[in-house]
Amino acid sequence: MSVRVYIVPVVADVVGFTAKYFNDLGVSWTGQLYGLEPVMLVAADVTGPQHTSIAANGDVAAFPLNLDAVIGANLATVQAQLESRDMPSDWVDASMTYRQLLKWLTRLFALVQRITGMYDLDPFANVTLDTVIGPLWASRLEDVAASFGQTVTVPPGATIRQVFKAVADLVPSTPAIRGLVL
Amino acid sequence: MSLPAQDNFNRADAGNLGANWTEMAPATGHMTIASNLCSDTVAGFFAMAYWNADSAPNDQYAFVTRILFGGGYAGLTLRLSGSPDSGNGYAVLVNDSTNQIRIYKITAGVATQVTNDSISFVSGQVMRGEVTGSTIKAIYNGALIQSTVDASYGSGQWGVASFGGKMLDDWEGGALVTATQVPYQPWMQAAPVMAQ
Repeated sequence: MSVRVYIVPVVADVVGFTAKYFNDLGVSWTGQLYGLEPVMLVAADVTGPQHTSIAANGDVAAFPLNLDAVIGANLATVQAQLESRDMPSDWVDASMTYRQLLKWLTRLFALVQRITGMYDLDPFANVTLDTVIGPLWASRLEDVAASFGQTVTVPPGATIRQVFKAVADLVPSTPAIRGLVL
Repeated sequence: MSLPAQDNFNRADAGNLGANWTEMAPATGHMTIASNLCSDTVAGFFAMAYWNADSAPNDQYAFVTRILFGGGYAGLTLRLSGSPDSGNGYAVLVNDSTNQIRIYKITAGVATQVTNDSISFVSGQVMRGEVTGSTIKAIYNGALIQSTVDASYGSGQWGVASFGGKMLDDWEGGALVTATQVPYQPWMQAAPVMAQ
């Protein structure tokens, strides 16, 4: 049994919504939501066969067991997995480890969670990561940064990708998820 | 009133929990008083209520005793706020049939499960939830079972929740006091204004 990390879809279940795949396998898991997006970052206690079963699904992005491995030749795949889920990836390079990436993702998730908590809005609705941020959302993002104790000025012409990367860099990361120290 | 807020639900049967409670899912279910217990009314639908007689601190705990009834999820809520049927917050629920404990995030009245663990359920044992900063914890019978992080909701009231789970007793909500609060990491203090 090992703790493995995944990015998976959020699906409906009998109570409301949940992370796809894990309840069906009866595993223990901990997740973080990406705001109102139907995406969850999950750390789960899984066996080898359970991991194989989960990772085989096309809508799952699975982190390697060794989070200290460098992304290396998997860079294009990693970037594509992130971009398809509205997560900026142009800053990721082959020399980074998966642990560094995961740590930053917890910052990004916290940022997006705070946005939806403050405004009840999905910042990715009807836009792409390359959409230029208008004055209203610039003001909102500055207020969100302030809620984390950070002073941020969103420059005119900045895109969602640029601002989310920069602000997420200032947000506290999650120290550990399900015992995995980040 | 003064903290901790407490309710043993020992009063006459009623279709709601009384004036100290605000129903948060009246469109789907009601938390009621039945046989001196807190009970929901309809299996298969969510019922929630928060304590309104005291102002809950941001860092808070709640605990409640879960009574064996034969299935369904029931437990407590944390930082619950907003309007009935569209509220936001967190819930810690236990299922006495499947022996599972889960943390849920509630957004606009809709619950999304964000943790899952197994426990050995025993009727009458205490389930407790805590939220400090962005960390939500589920504690059962004195043992920390699970925790997760969510930065969405920083304030709100404690309460009770059920999804066909029926019976709860002896609820308490109070303030979590931490010895030392460190709001930001040292690296953040030198963080620059956002780069272009």
